[in-house]
Amino acid sequence: MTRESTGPGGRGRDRDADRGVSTVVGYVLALAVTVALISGLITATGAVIEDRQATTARTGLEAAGERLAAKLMAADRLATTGADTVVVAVPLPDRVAGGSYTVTVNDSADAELVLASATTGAEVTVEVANRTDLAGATVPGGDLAVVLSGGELEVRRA
Amino acid sequence: MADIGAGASDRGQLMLVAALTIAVGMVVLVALLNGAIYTQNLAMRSPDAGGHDALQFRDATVGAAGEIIDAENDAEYDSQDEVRANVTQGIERYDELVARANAGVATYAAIDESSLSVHDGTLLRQTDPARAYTSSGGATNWTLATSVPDIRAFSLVVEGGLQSTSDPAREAFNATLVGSGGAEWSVYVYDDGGLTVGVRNATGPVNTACPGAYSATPVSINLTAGTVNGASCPALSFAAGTTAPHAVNYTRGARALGTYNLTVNTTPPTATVTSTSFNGPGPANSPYELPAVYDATFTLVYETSQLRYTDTVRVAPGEPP
Repeated sequence: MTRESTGPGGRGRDRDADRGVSTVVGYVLALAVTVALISGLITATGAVIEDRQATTARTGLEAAGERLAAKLMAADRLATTGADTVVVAVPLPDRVAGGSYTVTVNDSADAELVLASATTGAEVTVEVANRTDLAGATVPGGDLAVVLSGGELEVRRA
Repeated sequence: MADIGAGASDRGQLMLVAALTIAVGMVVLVALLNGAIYTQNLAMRSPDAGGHDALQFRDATVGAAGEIIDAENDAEYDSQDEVRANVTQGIERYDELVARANAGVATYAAIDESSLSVHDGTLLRQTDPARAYTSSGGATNWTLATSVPDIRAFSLVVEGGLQSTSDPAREAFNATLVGSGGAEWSVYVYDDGGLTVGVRNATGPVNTACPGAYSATPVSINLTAGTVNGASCPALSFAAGTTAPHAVNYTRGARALGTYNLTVNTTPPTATVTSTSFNGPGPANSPYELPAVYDATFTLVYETSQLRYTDTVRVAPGEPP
């Protein structure tokens, strides 16, 4: 027979169906599942953001590196005419994917530019074909200039 | 029992925190997207620094200055001061025009006039095509100039009167450069069963170097450019095997008829033209010598918002490569 109950179990509930059920445990279970789902969602979102940031940084560094290499080779062409002065401006973005980056000129036999992001650790190498010697240097990314100095092409902050 | 039936306004706090966190994540992703779009824009911009235009300006200016020098020399002035002043004014006028034209496209392209210097030379020429290659006094073996460090635009147009011979070294007309130490380089023009141009280094054999480039007079030989009737003749390598300064001689000048032009650098005091073998300026006075400009040196400047380029150039039109 069904009996009414005035307790917090609710009115008109079948007391037989509530056997082995604890309200506290119910709430704790609901909370735990919700927390687990939400933290999983947040973790996945964070991972996507990190992945996108790394890809964007790499693409940005490649674009900046190719641009600098093109301007460096244009300066090289001018320097080979025996010019007295060559200064080529290279406007580059100050930050890539929200982080700063550095540009390193390697003046080895196969000259190359290495651009490295300070925040994501992404690193891009761009080769340069040159006839004039390059001066090895590391400069922070941003507005740069290629200058002919002492018979060598130097990359400096503008 | 504990009252854990909370009111309607307290529900969903965890959901709110999670939604806010995801919203911040979305904002960060949008910022990254903005960075990626900017990178695409950067990648599609032209990387041209204007270097091509700078080199074009340089080449055009050198060419124009060369034409000014040749034009003023050909005007046949009576004094060195006159020709020097006219060449200087001509180059300055060119500078004014080109600077004004480039200013209209936000470019500074000009000659630094304070760096402009011109150097003296002498133009030696014969304009009478029916005259032999003899001096003004009729000498057939004679020296045009001695100890000249540079010679440019040396050309002969031989009209005829050639010696018929198969031993040019001993019988044909030739123009000879004698270098320091006595080494010689000669160009022979004669008739050996047909018009023949030969080149000889030192005491070697005469090399009939340019077959097929010509068949009859008049034949135009540009010694400094190494061409016969406009066609390149590699064997005609100006002053090969000799070192400057040079003396310029004509030998057996009576065995060819025609005209010639050459400009010698007479800036050093040791460089001398044999003035007794030439007449004064005037087309009717072949052969004659004229004051001329040998070369001009100046610095040119090309500057835009992206590029600064300067170069010091020397213009000597018709100098051997």
